[in-house]
Amino acid sequence: MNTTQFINWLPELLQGLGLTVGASLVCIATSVLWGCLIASLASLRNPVLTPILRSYTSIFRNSPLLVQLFFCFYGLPFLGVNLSALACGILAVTLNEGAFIAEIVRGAIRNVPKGEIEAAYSLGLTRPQVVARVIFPLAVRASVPMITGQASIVIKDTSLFSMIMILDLTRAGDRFYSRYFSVSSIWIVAVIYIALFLIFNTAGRLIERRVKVRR
Amino acid sequence: MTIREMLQYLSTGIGITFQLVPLCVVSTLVLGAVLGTLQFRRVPVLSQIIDVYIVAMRGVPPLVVMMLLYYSVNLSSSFVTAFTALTIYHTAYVTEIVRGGFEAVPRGQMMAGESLGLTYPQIIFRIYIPQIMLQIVPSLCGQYILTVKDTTLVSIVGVQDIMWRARQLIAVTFDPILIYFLAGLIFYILCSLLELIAHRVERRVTRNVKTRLQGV
Repeated sequence: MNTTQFINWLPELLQGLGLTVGASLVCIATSVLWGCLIASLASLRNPVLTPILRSYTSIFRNSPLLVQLFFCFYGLPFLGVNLSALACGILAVTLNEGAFIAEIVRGAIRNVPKGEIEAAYSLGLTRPQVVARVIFPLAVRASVPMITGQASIVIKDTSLFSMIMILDLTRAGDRFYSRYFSVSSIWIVAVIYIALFLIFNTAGRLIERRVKVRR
Repeated sequence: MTIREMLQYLSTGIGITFQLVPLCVVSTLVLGAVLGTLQFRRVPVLSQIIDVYIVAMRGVPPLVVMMLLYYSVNLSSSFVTAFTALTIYHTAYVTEIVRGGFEAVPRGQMMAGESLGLTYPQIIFRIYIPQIMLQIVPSLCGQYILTVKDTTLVSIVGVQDIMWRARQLIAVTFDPILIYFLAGLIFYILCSLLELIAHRVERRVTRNVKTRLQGV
């Protein structure tokens, strides 16, 4: 890799970096919301809804993201749903990571102290109120460390976007390689991913400290 | 083409997963046990290097590890490349699991071993490893579920795995929905089995710990 090659490649790299960061942030937000929604709906113990949501999380946790991604990208147009590649990617990652986050939040919901729930009931709150005002806030705060851990996995997940023709960080590196046959671009990409991971990790720690449940 | 023929064609691809995963389990366990022990003991320079390696692997997507290896090292076959990349990637996590397992053993046992005149390797092999063997199985199963799912990435280095075959099938049948559904189903069954093992072992471990506590 020489300077001219690097300068020619730089716009592509920055575009890829921007997409990876942007898509990761969007995916983290959507999957946390989706996961929390699934987990809190499942905790209502509706006899119809809960088994459906359970099988949803189990299916999406136990099958590869790439299959889900390809299903969305190649399969959905056949069902009459035409989404852009990026929308497909975000959809697949949200469905996948949302299932993981739902499982994390579900575990946290189960660990909410019984006494607090009983106290809420004895104050005359209804079940939806208890879920929304007591169980949910406590559980979400307790699951923040694991959710931030999952968030750094989302960055890695977005690298699969390169397989559905999206110019992300991985594809930017790959494009340089196929033009100049120099592997140094992939090294640069790898280092950028590590830097992103460290930044997201530090941000996660800060959030953890802010919302920690003190007893 | 019937569903049965499709499944047959796809399941020849899953053979790659069946070859890759056991090999990776062995290699990551061996390497992870060695590196994990080193991490537990904090060997001066070496442990710092391993720290950097672990952070790197936690940050880098497996796809990028595979590309790096594929483009920069000329290994004998794409299968070997895929195997090496998966081993490099997952060993970091297994190392962390092993180190975590060691650290969960009360420190008093190390001292007890030392006071009985055991050497360090003896303490590790006779006291630590038998105790943590079962306890780390659930986390290891979790990690190997990820390994199973990561084997879908190997088509990028030219291995003719299930994803590659799925693409071939789609070129013939034009039915990506059914084919990716079937591919997902095969993985779902595999991963669910691993998850089941993890749950079984986990329940046994907690029961063992409980009876041990009751014994005291």
